[in-house]
Amino acid sequence: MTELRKAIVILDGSFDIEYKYKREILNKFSTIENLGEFAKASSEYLSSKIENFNEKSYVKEFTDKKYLELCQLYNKKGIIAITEVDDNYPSEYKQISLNPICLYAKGNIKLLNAKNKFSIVGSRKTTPAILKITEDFSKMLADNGVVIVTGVAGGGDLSAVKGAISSGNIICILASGFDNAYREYSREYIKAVEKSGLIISEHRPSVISMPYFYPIRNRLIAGLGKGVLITSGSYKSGTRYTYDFALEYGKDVFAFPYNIGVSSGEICNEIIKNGGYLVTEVEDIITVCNFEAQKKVEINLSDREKVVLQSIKDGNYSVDDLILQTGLKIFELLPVLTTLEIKKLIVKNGSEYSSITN
Amino acid sequence: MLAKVKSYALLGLEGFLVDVECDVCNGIPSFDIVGLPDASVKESKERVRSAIKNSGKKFPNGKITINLAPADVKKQGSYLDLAVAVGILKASGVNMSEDVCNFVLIGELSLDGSLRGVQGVLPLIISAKNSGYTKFIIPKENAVEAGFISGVDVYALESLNQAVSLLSLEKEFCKVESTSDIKSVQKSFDVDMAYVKGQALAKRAIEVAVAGGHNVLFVGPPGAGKTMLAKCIPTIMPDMSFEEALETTKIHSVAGVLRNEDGIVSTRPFMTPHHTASQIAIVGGGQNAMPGIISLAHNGVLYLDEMPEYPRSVLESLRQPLEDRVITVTRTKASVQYPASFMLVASSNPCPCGNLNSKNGECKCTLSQIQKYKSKISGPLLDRIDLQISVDGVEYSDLISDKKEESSEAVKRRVNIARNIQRARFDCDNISYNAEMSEKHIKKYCALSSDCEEIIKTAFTELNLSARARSRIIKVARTIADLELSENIMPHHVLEAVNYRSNLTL
Repeated sequence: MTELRKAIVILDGSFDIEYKYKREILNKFSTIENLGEFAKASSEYLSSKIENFNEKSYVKEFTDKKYLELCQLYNKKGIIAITEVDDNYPSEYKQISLNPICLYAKGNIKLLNAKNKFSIVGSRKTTPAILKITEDFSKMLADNGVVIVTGVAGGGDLSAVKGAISSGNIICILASGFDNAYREYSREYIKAVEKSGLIISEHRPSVISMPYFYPIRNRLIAGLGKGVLITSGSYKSGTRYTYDFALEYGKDVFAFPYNIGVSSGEICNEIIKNGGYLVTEVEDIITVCNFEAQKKVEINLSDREKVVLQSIKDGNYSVDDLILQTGLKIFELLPVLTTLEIKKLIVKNGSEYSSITN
Repeated sequence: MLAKVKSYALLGLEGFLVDVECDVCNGIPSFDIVGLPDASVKESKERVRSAIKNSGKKFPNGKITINLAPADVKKQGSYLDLAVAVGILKASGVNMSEDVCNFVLIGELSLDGSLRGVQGVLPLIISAKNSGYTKFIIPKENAVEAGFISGVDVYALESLNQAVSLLSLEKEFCKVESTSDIKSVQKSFDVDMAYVKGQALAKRAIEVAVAGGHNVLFVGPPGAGKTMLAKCIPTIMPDMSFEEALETTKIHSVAGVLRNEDGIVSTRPFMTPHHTASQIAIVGGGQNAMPGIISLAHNGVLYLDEMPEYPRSVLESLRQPLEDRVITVTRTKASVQYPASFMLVASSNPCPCGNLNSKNGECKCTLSQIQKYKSKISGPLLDRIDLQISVDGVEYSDLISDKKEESSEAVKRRVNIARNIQRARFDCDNISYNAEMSEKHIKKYCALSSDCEEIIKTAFTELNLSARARSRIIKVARTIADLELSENIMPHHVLEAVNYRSNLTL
């Protein structure tokens, strides 16, 4: 437990300070070793930036006692705080500028660090056909180990949640603190994701949502997945922000194609025009983002199978070659070869074997 | 006067009793044989007449009628000569003991009265013995053959005179000694597994195939060693049991290919029909309903080198015997069943030029040529071949290496043990090896654990196997388990068995 972590938790949990200031403080004072000094230094900085800043009441908060209080509070609500200096802070966020300082999470934390994550967003005004397709895609990806990242709006986001909920590979990002989540969205919906998936927010629990929270929340959605699928959106839709962020972060952007004149498809067609990927089937996403690799690693191989597979890695080998290489007897080698063939890891060409490379 | 003597005739492999009735009475001299004799039997008249005269005996001057009973069954072959001659002599008054009617007389007569060897003596005697006849007179040439039957008194004589002397109790002759020792007649081979370098997969496949009596197909480019591997198969085949040797000898005897010096087929037959052999030659038939090459290969190996080169009709006609292990040869007057339980070994190129998938050459065939070549061996025939493997040439360095390879003797030992297990297993059933198991036997002797079932199920879906393949895989797995001396079939046995059919290698 570093002092810095405690400082961040207190800084983010106790005050209503603008993000830009908090960001500056952390950039400047991250090397400070104890709470008191951190409090003093940051207080000086803040009073120079903010009018009528009450240094005394600010510095007072930075104690171990306050830290423990906050931890207990979060605990009671079932929330876990993850600061940017913690080990389980998602590496994807480390790459983006203006990264969240502290995340508040409820549910299966492990999902945050899953290898394959993919974002899906859509506007509330999505056609039913697209809603169904989105749900199917989400399910296909999630069932294969890809964690879906989405917001909490109705429409496209909700379809993504519906598809992924059965496998539990779903992360929803709120645009408010946890205390106020239920006000805006259906209680069952949120509870379901809390139970099987993960909900996160960059705002402390008591924060109420403001309009401008939505666009900035979208940066978190765009930043967490390997790529973003934008299912729908008119020119004015908030999904535009997600698109812009995705471009900025260098993520692959995918969109469904729409007919001319369908308003909910305007952004999608624009994305495609500008070089985004046109999606008609799940494979389009899987291939571009290279999601298959995840599945292969999960196949369990016995030691013998590994040895044999290793010997076939590059080139074509006959049974005689393999016996020489592995030292196995013929009746030990043959069952292994059959198993690897069944698992679709090797293929037979005439009398020789070669491996199926990814 | 009327005289009755006994002889035996063959229908297929089974003999049936022929009562030779001879009537000599006064009247215009004539000599007739009735009872549906075929051409060779009808010709006996001349042979018998000369033989009797040249033996210094008197040929009766009167009306001679010979009836071969039962009168509605066709008689063929020349072995009735002796019985007819003896019958005539007895009917014309030559003194013979009462015992004559207990003898079965078999033999062809030459014009000077000497007894000539005939084919089919072994099955004749076996059939007669089964019907209760124990005394025989046969030609000396067939003596060795007859020696392999126990519990009978066989006199192997050289002439008509000797036969008459014996039957009138004038002289004593020794009986043929019976033996069941077939080892002394076994040949040595000029190939051995130790001379084949590398090819571990092919050698393993041969071992499994021979151990369980399964059929094998080798696919590979020319020069890969397919024929050499096939020729090694007899060297590791387990020694024939006496019963098997008798069975096989019967067939060879009937077909007239038995070597008289050996008298018995003691090493497993290895038959290689030529591509131009007719369907009848291969499967059996002809006017006399003779056994074909597949029956000559009974208890042995039928090797089809370059299988696609055989006419499609010939290959198709193999399907039934492969399944039923017998072949029924139907002719207008007779329907004969011959056993045809053989191990089928076939070789083939993967394509007309032979170089498809080979590491040593480029295939120059067009796709349609390859398709046409493949289609010569139909799916159902391929499904009856339990083990299909690809062979390719070995590297030159491997060829000249002096790495020690296992000898045929060592492999044969393992094969023998596995075969003995099968013999014990099928003691109460009428089959000898795993390849012969029917669905009933599989249910009884090849129980599979759920692991094994799971593997077969996955292999089916992932590797596109046919339904017929299932029982074949289980049978091969049973053999692999036997080779490992394992009571139960384990998953790795099944996996290895699947390996031998996962690709349509052709």
